[in-house]
Amino acid sequence: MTTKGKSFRKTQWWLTGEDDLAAYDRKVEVWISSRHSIPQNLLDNLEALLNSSSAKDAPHNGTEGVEDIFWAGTEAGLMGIPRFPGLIYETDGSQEKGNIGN
Amino acid sequence: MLGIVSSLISERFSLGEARASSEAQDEDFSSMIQNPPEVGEVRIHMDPAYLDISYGGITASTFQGVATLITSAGPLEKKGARWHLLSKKFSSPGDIRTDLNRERLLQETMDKDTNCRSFAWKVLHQAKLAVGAMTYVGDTALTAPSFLKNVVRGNSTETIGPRVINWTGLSRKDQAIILLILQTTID
Repeated sequence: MTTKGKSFRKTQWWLTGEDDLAAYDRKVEVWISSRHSIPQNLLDNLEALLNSSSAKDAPHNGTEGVEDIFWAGTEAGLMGIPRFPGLIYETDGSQEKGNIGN
Repeated sequence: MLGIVSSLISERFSLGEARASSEAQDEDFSSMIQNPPEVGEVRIHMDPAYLDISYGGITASTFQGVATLITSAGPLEKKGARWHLLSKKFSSPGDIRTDLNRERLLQETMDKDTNCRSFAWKVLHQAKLAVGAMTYVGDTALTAPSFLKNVVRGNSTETIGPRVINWTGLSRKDQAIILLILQTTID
């Protein structure tokens, strides 16, 4: 599979945590072991993402791997919001001109 | 800023107007979040909190989701979530200074190499789903995705089973190591 889209995080993103994406004017090759049999729809989804021109990397907020620990370290996580025993209508981790953003 | 709404809303007031300031200052928001009052009300917490998240001798605090670490190489700002993950899973209190400095130097070197890049996490997650991977090979502890259980580089016994390898997220030295492993692996 050879694709060309905005599939890379921008250089030094780790210093700011920004999720902007870039293509870096290069194609991407995907190699899969010949011993693997992968459903076509999963490959189609992967190809679509690699060809995407979307400039943002949508955050993956799940419970796979060590995500529970990762999200527990966000501002909301450190304050215990995920363990709030009630309904959460909205939270926001930024303060922009005194307003809660969406 | 953080707005917390309890489950039974009956009135809205600001702390400054409805409560004596000394009482408001005494309120423990973290405790209130875990044990909200049984009457319905809205609390607006206007002032961002500085939270001490020091670990292993590295002084660190987080403010609005950004952690500032005081390291031997100077201040380092990171997402608070990443530092939290590093302090819980990556290294021991005795080794975190050395390990963090190693990863930082490697990441800075990789940033200067136009062949080394981090993939979008949405791409890596789809690749994970496609092969059923539990292990990710590439990047550094500062950039690796959090949705894979194992994250390794180079010669590690954890590179067994289905894995996602980011070739552009490996130094040339680590590329040579993983290439030898791939030539002999059967899974």
